[in-house]
Amino acid sequence: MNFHRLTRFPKHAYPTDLDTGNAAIDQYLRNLDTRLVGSTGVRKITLEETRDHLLESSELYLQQGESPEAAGQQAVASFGDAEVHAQEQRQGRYKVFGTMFLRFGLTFATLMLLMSLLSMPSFLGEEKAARGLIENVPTLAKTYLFNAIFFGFFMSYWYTFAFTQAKPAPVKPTDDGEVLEVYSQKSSKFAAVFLLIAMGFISLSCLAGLFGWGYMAPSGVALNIILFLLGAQMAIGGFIAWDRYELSQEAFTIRSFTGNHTVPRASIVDLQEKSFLKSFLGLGIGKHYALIWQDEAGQRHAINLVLNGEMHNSDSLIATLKATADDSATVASDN
Amino acid sequence: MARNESEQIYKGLLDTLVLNVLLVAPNYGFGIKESLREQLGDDAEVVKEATLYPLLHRLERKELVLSYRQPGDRGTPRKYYNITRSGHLYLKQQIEAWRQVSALLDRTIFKKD
Repeated sequence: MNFHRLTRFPKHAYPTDLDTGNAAIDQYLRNLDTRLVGSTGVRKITLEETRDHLLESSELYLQQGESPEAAGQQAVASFGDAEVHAQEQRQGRYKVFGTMFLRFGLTFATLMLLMSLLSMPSFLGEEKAARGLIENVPTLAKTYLFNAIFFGFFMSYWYTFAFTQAKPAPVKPTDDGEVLEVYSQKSSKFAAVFLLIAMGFISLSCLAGLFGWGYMAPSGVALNIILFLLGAQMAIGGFIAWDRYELSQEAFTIRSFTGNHTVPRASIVDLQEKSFLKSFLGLGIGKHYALIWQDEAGQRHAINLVLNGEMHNSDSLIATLKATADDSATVASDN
Repeated sequence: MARNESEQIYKGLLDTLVLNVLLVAPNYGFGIKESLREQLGDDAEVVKEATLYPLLHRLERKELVLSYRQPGDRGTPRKYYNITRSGHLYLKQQIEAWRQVSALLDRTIFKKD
């Protein structure tokens, strides 16, 4: 059963930049790669972790006096059957796919259903709309299912098998110590400009429709208001690509279009991930967090933080902020 | 047979042992394996990569650990694992449970008249 190969779009080939020069290790990595799901970027996460382990392991065998060939072979033998590791990666990704399919599909279909109900005449036509809600349930149910399956599949496929996490960038050395910088890739900025144009156009069309102008005028007030808000949310949300976060030993700084905020690192007490719905509807594309910090008077404040996998070092920042918050909690409980 | 049975018990303990290693500092796959090898000595054979990595990924899905990547010195990023607040809590509960098992064994099977 080679179903997993369908998920490897667009590139099936092994990423040769992972070659190590050790025949046993390279052969193992190539064998493992054929069994993994996802685009090159998704597969690389597993391949890089395996490569790192095999190189460390073979170095240990080298130090014990083995030849490079024997060291590579022993490292591979110790790592175990490639199928066991590949199966773990496949099952993990399939679980993510299932979860995201339900989340994205149901959220989108519910939103579309709401819009359909608010604009029955323009959605179903005057004649059908006049029949009443009960009689239109089969049509609405079919549309709901179609939207859930189509959008759910498309979005969860992209999220699970195609989306590539940005590579980690080195910390920046400064006079005051190392600074972890979190920023978006260039491609995210291009995507944000596209979003601004496309969703801005939809949003403005709906705004015009509200005043009886243009092709959205017959859609009704409620639908135009919802689409105007959603379009604006997506168009403005793309601006997150220009946000920048900096974490030093002393402070955490957020630089965005809305201004700069600096919080002393020692005052950070929690980092709470917001619900999927809040992230979906919030301003800024990515996962939304509430960064809780405490001022000198003991007053707690919250700052909204948006992070996504297209930002370099976003995972490191989350881990460091959570560890910082845990340290603060430990200090507080010790006192 | 006896060896197999003790391996099963060790495997049941492995999530606790891994979390306990991460309590000291964030670590990566090979580093965790080496720390466990040092702690387990002759019993280190039970920690196989085919068991360790699925376990780490399972702990991550349960949000007991979280992972992040940092630039590595071998040309590719290195994936680190760090224990979370839920992981701390779970570890505390597991240690208490194993302490109770140990105390029970001391009171019964290992009891010296």
